[in-house]
Amino acid sequence: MIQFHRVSLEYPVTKTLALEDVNLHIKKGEFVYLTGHSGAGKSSFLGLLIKSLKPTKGQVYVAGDPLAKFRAGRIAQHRRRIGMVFQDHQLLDHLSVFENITFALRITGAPVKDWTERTMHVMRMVGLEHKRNSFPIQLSQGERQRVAIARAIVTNPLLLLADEPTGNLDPDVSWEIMALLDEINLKGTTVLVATHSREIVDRQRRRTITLRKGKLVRDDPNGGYAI
Amino acid sequence: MFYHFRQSWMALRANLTAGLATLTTMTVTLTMLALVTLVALNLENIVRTIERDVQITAFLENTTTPTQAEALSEAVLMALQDKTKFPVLDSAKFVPKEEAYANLAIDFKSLADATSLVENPLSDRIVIKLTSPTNLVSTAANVKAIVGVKDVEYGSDFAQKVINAISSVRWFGIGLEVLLLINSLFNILNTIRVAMYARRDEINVMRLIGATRGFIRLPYVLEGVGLGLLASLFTLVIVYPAYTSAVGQLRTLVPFLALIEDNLTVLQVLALITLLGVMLGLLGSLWATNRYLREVE
Repeated sequence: MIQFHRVSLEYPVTKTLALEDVNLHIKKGEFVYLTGHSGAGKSSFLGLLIKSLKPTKGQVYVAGDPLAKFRAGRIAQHRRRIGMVFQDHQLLDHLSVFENITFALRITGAPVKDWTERTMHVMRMVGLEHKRNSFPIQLSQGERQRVAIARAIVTNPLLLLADEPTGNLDPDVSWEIMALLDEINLKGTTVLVATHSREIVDRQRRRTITLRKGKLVRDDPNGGYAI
Repeated sequence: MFYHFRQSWMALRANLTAGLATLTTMTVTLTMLALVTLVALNLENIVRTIERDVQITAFLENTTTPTQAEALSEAVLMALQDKTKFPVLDSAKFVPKEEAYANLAIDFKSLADATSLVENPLSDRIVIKLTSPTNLVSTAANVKAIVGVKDVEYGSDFAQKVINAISSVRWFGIGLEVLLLINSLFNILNTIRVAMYARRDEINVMRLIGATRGFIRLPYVLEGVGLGLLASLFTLVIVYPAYTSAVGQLRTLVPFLALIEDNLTVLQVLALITLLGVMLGLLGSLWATNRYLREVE
């Protein structure tokens, strides 16, 4: 599903080497943790996958496609295959829960007749069907993250990327969110979670990739947080 | 499409001040443009009338008999056929002094009674019409140089001066308009940029979810086109009654001015202004959205 071939990334203005000679392969259907301290290169790694960043060297492949060859129109198509979940949720405050989720379907050009059914399905999945008409500001942090996850999966993406999805949540809610991501993975979606939560990584025991100062220093199939 | 219209309405409402500022500037610009265009068309019309009426009167030497007069006029008319000396000659007509005297009596009715009492003081003449007032002075000099021509009259170079003045006014108007249009374009550009900046979070989410550039740009392009269209409509409402009223008053004050009065021409100008307003909105918003998205990508 994901392949990094000798990928390096240097930010041109600051000359910071965010990633250095990274090689890895993530298979379809895997659940992978991406760990490392702040500034280790986790967000850069995710940025390369959604092609908001371009590698200085090397090649990034997603579902067999070399991202370097994608132009503007193709990038939009590529991002439709990926669901993104952020630490700060990135919900649209002027839209209701239902509308926030439907927004993804509208943008990806899904048939209008399917919108309600698909939105309701994912809302039930994240347990928010009763909050259909609420606005993000009326929800708790955990509920907002659930809406963000629902929006990310409503388009049936091949790959789900989560950037610190439990960063702002208390432990109980964090486990609920992780359980949800697990459930999504069990349905066949490849899930990549960037986190620096030792507790979650240690307890889940999934494949864990560790970055340090831009270098891939550990790729452990049995997991565990080890920095 | 309804979604995009709603989004552009929301963007406009969220930045009402910027939107109103752009609308006002565009309306002023388009109004100025419409007025300058109408004035230019009228000046063009006046120039054409002046050009059509440009003529040189060549007074012939006094002769004693009509036969001599006719012979002299034929010689002068023959000399006028020289295309190298008279390239802008349109027509030349011999007018005997008797006919000129009779015409004078028609033009000035108070002289009609005196014509029978006083001997005709006028000379035989040739009335020369030109295709253009260009080289009026040199043409008149060439006519005067013909043997048998006593003097010429061509209203000095007044006509040329008027035409030059009108041409300068026209160029000034065009220059002013170009500056105003550029100003309007930058206003639209800034309004759309402010609107996009105000909704940058939403645009960011759209980009990450996989919205195409066209999908992101459409509401803002609609906003630009809408502002252009609205400003054009305001211009129409201001200019049409103002122009018809001004022409009506000028017709009473200076009836000899050749003004454009037919509605079709005025409406054609206003339709052109509307199209320009919409194009201005379209170009400004396309430019703004393109620049914004290139900056964030």
